[in-house]
Amino acid sequence: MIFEQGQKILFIGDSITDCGRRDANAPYGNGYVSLVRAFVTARYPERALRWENRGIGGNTVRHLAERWEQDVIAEQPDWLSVKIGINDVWRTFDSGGNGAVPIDEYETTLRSLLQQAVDSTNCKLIVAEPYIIDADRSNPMRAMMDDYGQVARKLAAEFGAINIRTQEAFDATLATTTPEDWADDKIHPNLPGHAVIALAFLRAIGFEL
Amino acid sequence: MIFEHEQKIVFIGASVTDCGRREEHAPYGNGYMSLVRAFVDARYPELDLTWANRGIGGNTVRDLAARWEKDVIAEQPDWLCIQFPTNDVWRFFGDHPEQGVPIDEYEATVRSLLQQAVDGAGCRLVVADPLYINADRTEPMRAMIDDYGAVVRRIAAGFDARIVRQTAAFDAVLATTAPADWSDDRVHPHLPGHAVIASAFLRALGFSLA
Repeated sequence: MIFEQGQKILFIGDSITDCGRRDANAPYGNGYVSLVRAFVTARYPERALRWENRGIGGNTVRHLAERWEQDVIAEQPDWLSVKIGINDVWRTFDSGGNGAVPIDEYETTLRSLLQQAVDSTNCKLIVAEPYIIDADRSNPMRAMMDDYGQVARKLAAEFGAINIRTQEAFDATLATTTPEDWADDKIHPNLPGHAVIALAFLRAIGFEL
Repeated sequence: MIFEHEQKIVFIGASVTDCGRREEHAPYGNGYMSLVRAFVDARYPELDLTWANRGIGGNTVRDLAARWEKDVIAEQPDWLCIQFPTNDVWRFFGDHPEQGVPIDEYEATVRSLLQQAVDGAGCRLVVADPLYINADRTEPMRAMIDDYGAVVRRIAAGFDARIVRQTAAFDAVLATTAPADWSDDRVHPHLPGHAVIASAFLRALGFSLA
């Protein structure tokens, strides 16, 4: 398991990361962040890890850029986990493009954010790909999400980051189930859906049960 | 993974199993049972398992016996996961020592419950010994928990049950941490404490991360 004694792990992203961490489910939310923290703490308590959730619902990379200094750089994490891109794509389909982030801007902004984080905090990186819980690759939003996911994957490789393939994780479960088993809107998971993300994360960090 | 396609799994126990499953966290609660369900469903979705939580806070084995027919036999589970309560011992150390269950009665009741489940439901068993988050084996309640846990494990072994050693799981984490890191009262865990229990269950079930 890659997290070391006393390290600080900071998660940032959108609603999937947030999950009520600013209100009803403070301070970790009740989604994948909370699951990862609980299981890693239970399995490796001697490492005395510190955890922070800085997800905010509705965020795109533009929103992350506005609060990067305060919520990432000032926090000086040892590990930074970034999971962003769903809203960047979704706004094209649910808001007539208002607030959508074109793929070139997504790539440029995300690269800049990762570079700033590394330069200013010397943290190591975890980059999770955006997903939609829909195995139909001909669905236009799925096709677009795949393109953004490829950008996130490419950037993860550029920075030598741990790469969390959330879309592949959901695709695997959808081989025998339906999207409604995991989320009402193909985006915001129920607890087993958050466990799908948490399992992908735990595997990627070398967690052993 | 020991669970098979379309099997039904029932969990029963006291407050640590219950965890709000009858009210704000219906129907699975927000404790270890919910964690086990979420991770097993996420990892083995093709099994299409059915889950039920029948924990009730405050129960001892006497209370379990009183509702065993309705909450276990009538449910006809394929697997019954029993988290034996801490209350049977804890009551001796609180305001109602008369509600503590003496060890002879405890042993007879545990044996009867497991026998009825196997005979009446034809189910297989996963049995967790009572938990207590205190590594000091000389402390009187801890010493008593160890005696009751040994009874549970001995009887469960006779029924070919999968055994979850909860107090041992907490002993392991207490080697480098304090009880207050896991629970305010050494019995009701915070979420990482529930993950300690859930991890012990997942290992007993043959859960594979890969």
